[in-house]
Amino acid sequence: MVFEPVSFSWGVKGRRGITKDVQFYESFRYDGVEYFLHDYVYIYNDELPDKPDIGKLLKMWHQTSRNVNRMKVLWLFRPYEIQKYLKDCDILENEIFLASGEGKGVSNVNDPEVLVGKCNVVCTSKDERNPQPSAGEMKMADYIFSRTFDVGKFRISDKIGDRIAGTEITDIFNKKISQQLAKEGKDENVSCIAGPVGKGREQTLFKNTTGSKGFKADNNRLQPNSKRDCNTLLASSINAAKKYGSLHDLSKPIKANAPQFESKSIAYVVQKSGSYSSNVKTEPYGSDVRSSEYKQKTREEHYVEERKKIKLEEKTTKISGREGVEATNGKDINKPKKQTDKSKWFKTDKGKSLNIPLEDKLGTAWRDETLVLFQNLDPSYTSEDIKEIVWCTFGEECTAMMRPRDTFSSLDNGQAFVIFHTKEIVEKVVDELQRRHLMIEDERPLVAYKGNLEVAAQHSKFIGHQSIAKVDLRQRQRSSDWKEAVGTSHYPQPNTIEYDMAVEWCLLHKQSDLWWKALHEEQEKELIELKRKLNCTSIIGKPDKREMNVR
Amino acid sequence: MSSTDEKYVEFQEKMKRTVYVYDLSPKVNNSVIRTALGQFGDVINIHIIPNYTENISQCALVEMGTAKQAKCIIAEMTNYPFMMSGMPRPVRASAAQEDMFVDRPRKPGRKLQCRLVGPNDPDFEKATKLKELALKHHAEASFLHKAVLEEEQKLARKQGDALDTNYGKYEQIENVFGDGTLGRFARRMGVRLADD
Repeated sequence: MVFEPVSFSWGVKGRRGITKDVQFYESFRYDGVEYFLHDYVYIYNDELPDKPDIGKLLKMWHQTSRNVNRMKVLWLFRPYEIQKYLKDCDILENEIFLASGEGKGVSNVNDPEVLVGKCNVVCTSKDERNPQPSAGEMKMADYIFSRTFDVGKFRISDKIGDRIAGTEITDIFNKKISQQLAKEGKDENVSCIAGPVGKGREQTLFKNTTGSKGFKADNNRLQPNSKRDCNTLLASSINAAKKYGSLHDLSKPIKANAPQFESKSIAYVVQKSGSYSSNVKTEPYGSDVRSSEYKQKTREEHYVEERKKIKLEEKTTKISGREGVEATNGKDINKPKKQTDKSKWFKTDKGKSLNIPLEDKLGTAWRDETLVLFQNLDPSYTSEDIKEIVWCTFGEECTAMMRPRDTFSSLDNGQAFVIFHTKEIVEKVVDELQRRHLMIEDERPLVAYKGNLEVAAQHSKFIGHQSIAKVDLRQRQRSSDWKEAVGTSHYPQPNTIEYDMAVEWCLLHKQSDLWWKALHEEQEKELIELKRKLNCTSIIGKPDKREMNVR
Repeated sequence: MSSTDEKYVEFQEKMKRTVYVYDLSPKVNNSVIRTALGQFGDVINIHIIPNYTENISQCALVEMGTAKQAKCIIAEMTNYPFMMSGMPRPVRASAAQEDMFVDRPRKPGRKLQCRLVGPNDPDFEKATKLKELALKHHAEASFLHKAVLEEEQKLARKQGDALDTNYGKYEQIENVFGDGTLGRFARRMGVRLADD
């Protein structure tokens, strides 16, 4: 394929940059199309040539020392690029999202060669600083945007701050009418390229009626940013590569924009692509969490089409190269004591703060034999209810804690730990409860035991996590990668052994759910039967049938 | 609305947004959960429930930004195995229920009635029988619990064995490749080894 040189010429000069090296401009002509500052443009996307990226030209300049032309582009996201974060939002048909915030993906510096054409984008934000577009303008627009996507926080927002990517927001909003009219006299007000498809494209030009073009007469605004731009040129080109890396599948080699056009642009492909393809596993999620999270998140989008599952198969295939199964050191005998930060447990933001964490209290209570376990409670009772019951019945104060239900406990049976002050009180209470029955709501006799904290044996391993001992040893050198790869949470791909095994577990889960369901039904029947026989005043009904995790 | 009612309503709303994640490995901690579930939405709060049972698996209550996010997570994790901190046992998720929260607010309008029933009370027999039944049920539940644990262990062992065997096979193949045996054998038999 032969690339003919494409015509490029600068238009109106802007100011000089801080270093004499850089000359800013306000327009240029490329391939027969005139581009002005703050125009919306299409930029070639080599992975999806039919869906070029949409950007807004924030700056354009020529760097004499290297004899290169550059432009700074602020990105706008198509919905599919951020669909993970749009889950609960309604999107208009031709809506796109403005990049904002700090981080990769907001803007890039590119060679104008990557331009495919101009685009008609209208800002429909209800912000008072934004001149509202007319109905005609909206109809003519290719795209509209009113919301931003923060690339650092991964959030959609209606609110637009004062600056985005170092540019005043007024430059981002629609142009004021007065400025537009002032520029009417200038060269062709072209816009609206229909269906850009790449180099040999058709261009249909419409008369511009929207506010997407025209530029500010006041150029002083560019002043503060120029230095930064010059000095971070290389960093921006890394961003270009990364931006693509983060938005698209990482396993493909990353090219910045349209490298085919000219070999010059290949200089851009700062070789993050090299490092990516070899280290496709995962980014360490200690450092630079956001970018790795972002990549992980977007990678996930490409998994199975019907559902957006995570595609981190590189981990599994990379590690062993053969089987796709790796796991933590599940079989490690020298497993450290089960570390649980239970002391933080009660210091939740709910405003409750016990002086002594409950876990410790339970531990000491057990040792001092002041712990009692209440069973057969109505699960909807709270700790305060228990305290009241104890107070009313025995006149004793206590600390009570309802045990949180796990999915296997009967829906009807609640348990609570109760801590009394002394051993003697406990003896008294338990005795009393054995001699006489404490009927709560006339239906449920309380069952009480001297408390027994059954804590999992410290060295027992978690059932079900596998690892290959030999591979473990060998891989220890690459331990950090290894740990992250194993540690990253994911949905396994169907073509791995991991997946097959996981499915076996799912099967077991469903089976055990059915067992529990059967048991509970059986027990419920027995209880109803018994109550009927005993002529209880009210048979337990289940007004709010809470669903167990049974499918 | 009195403040208890308000609190209760607030709690209900929070409950709808909360996912109960269980069968977690003990290695899983807050940051793992945050990273994992952060992929699906905004994680507002994580509470790993302290485990007072023999079962080493953990569970946690994760509060998400919206109820929709929570529902999505639960639906996906029920239909697809999701791995956290190890493979291949998947973690499970279900909608949080009231009694999973230890610090839940009281149900408004609840009145508690309780009384001690002595041997002379006509209801004593009734109470005894009910108690016995409750104990029996509890024992049955423990038994099932143990049985399920055993099944899990069986499965894990089976998978472990299969994995080791397969790995052994692959190792053998690699060794044969590596020490040249396969190469020599191929040459002897006149068979090309290369993939092309």
